[in-house]
Amino acid sequence: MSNVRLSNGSPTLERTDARVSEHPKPSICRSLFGPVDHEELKRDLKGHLQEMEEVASASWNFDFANHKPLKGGRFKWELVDCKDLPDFYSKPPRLSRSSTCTTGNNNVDLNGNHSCVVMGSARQPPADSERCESQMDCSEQCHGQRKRPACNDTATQSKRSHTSSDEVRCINLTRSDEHTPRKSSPKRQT
Amino acid sequence: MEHQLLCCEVDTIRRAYQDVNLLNDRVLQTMLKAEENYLPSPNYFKCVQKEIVPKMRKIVATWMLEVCEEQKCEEEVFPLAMNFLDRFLSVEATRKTTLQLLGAACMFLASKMKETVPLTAEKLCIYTDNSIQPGELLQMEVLVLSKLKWDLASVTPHDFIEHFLSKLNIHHNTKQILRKHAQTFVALCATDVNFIASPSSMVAAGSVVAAMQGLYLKSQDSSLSAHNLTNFLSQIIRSDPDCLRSCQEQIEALLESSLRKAQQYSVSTETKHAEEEVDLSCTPTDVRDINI
Repeated sequence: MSNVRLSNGSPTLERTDARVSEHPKPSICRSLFGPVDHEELKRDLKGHLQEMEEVASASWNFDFANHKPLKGGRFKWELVDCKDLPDFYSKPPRLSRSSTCTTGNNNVDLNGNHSCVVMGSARQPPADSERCESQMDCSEQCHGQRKRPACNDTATQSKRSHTSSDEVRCINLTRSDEHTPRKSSPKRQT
Repeated sequence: MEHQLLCCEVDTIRRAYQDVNLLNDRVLQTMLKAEENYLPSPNYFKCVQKEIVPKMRKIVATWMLEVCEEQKCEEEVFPLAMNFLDRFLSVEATRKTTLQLLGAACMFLASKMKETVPLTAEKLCIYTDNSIQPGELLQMEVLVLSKLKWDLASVTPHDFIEHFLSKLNIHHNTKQILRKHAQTFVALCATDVNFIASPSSMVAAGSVVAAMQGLYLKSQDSSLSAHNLTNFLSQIIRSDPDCLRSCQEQIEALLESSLRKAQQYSVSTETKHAEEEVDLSCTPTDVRDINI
């Protein structure tokens, strides 16, 4: 249904000026419901993200945390050389405004794309496992299978070392999640 | 020609303009069908939430609107963010202390959906008085995406307003004002819990009628009388005219009560607000500022 959305182009005239860059009005900067217990929040979020990771792992038969394929799913995973892929998979994005966060994302973004683009969009998403087999052959012909670029390892390592990359790993995860619904209803997203 | 294109690279926000080819019946019908998929559950306060009560939604909504206003977000961002928030709360019991983080994540996502230059995580965290950290916001973002099943292309009242306006035979300038007022009503509705279960088309139609009423445009053309307009729009959205009328009245009542609150507020506080209030006495355009 998303194809239906109108780009509203918001015809209201006042909105054409660029984002105000000055410091936010202090009256708007406020904490609404008292102090946040960051430890608790961290635990909550971690639990949720772990759950999502498990779901994604099961549906892609891939261990995203360790970047290892899992046995016995619908997919057969193989390595590809990143040189065989279009360069937008390895090219850094246009702007890297915030240093650490963004770069962290990129690396994993990249991997996330690898893992799902190769499988998901090389052909029409497989509706069943037989189709999947034939799809594998084709995608091998076209551009081989994914090989993780060097940055991958850094992502895996840093995941353990500090929190911000935790989310990074899960972005990776859910990227593939994003493609999952496509299988059941390919029309939906485009 | 190509050289000319280069000349356009100036430092303003670039945005897509309205594609009039999309303002047709086929699209409208599809939107009417699609909107149901994006309705939050109407009673999530009772059925899902343990800590969150309607009053807290109002508080976080008001804050979100203020942020969107100050950041000059596109009009659609705020209602879309509220739709994300309601849909999330419909499926996930949330702590009170996480509600603002959720609100920030929803704005973050809505802004990315609708804007050329989206809000940054850092900026949003500043608006929470640094009570949350960018890392937490990013994690929350993923969680929201997952709970909404990655389906962020909600049909908003704004989408409908364009269709309705295209069907009205009024002057371009009038249309502009009407749109502005209707959008203001939509934002107002998004802050109010009573409209959670209202489909976007209903909110949009009610807002357009209320705006028309408020602007006293009805006298010029009989087809634009409140009665006829209500009948006309209710046909379009396939609803009962009485239903639409009550929605419109609800919107007007909401406007009145928030104006009253705003006046009390501005009398007791700053003069800046008082200025806006003067504006408001003749037109409801600035209701959103006042509402704050």
